[in-house]
Amino acid sequence: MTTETQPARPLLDVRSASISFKQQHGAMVHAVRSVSFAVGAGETVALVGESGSGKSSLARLVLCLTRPDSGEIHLAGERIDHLSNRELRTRRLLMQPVFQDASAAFNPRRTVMQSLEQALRCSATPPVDMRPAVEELLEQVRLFPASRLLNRFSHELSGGQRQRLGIARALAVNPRLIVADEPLSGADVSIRGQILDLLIEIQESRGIAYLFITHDMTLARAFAHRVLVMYKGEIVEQGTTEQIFAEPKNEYTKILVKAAASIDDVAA
Amino acid sequence: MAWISGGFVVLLCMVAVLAPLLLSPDAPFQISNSVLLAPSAGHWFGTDDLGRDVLLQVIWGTRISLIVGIVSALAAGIIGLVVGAISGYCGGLADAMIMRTTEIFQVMPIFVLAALIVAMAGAGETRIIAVIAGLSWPQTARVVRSEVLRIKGLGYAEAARCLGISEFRILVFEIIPNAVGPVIAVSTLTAAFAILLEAALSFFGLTSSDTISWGSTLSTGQRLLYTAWWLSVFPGTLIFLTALAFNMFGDCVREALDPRSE
Repeated sequence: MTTETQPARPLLDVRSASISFKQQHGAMVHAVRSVSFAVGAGETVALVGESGSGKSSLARLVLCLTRPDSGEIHLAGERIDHLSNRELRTRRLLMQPVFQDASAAFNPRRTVMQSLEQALRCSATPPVDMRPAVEELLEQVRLFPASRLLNRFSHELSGGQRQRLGIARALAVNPRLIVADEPLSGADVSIRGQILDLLIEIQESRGIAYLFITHDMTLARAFAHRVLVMYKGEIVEQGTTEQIFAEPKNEYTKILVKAAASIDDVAA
Repeated sequence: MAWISGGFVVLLCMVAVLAPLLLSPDAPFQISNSVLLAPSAGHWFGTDDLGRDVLLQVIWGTRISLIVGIVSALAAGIIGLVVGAISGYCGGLADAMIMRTTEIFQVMPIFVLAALIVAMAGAGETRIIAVIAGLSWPQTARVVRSEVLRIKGLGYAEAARCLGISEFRILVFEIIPNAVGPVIAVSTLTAAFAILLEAALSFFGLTSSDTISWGSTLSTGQRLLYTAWWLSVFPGTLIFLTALAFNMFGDCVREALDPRSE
């Protein structure tokens, strides 16, 4: 890990964060062990690793949905992991989640309009006129025709539409970082491509950074500037995407890279 | 099914509401010489051993049964909802204490306890309602708790948290509205149970003598089962049908309230 791969003034800075959970039968699971990494403004960082490696636990830590047992989390130059929920309120808007399970990501009693209105009302400068603001959000994530979708419930949308709606909600509060936990794992291949294009387009227009959690190395290569490889709760290797794929140092990373390469061979 | 059970519940409610408007309050108590008449055009459900009209008694009894059933279910539902929501959302010590308390309630024999309390404290609908609500809220509380635990980990609750929405608002606006479906199902079961319990207590004479309910009519009937079957059959059938209708209606309401069902 070389210093020049770290952003100079990181947007998100996680310093030796750890968390463990007590299982039902009393055993402790060290889900995240002394993890350190940074995400710069406007950068895409992929967090890769197999299921159970602690990726989602780390995402929840970053979002302050759980607090670390030890270590620090800094967002935009400010330490946030020890703040109360009340103090966190405004800071939280700087980073927003996009969830894996899009069907559970929306309150089933709210329409598209109501869900997005709720998010817009939380933003630093809530729009006075909600309807055009909601329609604009829907158009930004390419959900057309916006006016026809407003009164639908999220469960009446397709999987891909729901995932776009999840992105729209995140964008409603103008975040600088989006933490996306396997946002494409439920979608089929053509929709994956479209959503990936959308994410790239949003990044270009708004300068948003992504912490992109995935088990898919090919996706990480296509999309990320830097890659963090997580194994058994630790980050075993991190570097630019070129570095990781050209000369992986860690044994586990080598296996992942090799597996991704063989998938590419089959595809070709 | 929804229409039949719902229609029956609505019909009972209408009878209960309209009865005091159309009948004088003494009508069901009117003693006459026409003792133990079989059902006929003059007395559709026959008469009892004091010559009182069974139809009028059954109509009057509907009021008691429905009030006891609905009010106790409502009270138990509200208590259970609040306690269960606190338990599930706060977790920790509060949750552990509440759950141990509900477990104590679950091993209590409700009927025996209700009979004991009514026998000692005296009869009356209010007491029966209080006893049923006081003893059956833990069931609702446990259901609500498990729903709250499930929903608070779902994406929309977490997304709301990430939007900086307060924990109280998340509980009230995101979680509880999605946890009420099962509460309604449990509450209709409680209502059916309360109607049966009230009937049983009246059957054993644990009500004041100046109230008429299905259970007390049934109680008179069982002494005369072989001479006057109508005294038992009509209130008995109504108790059975009402309990059944509440159960089925509850299932339908729960399904209708689930926004994801077609």
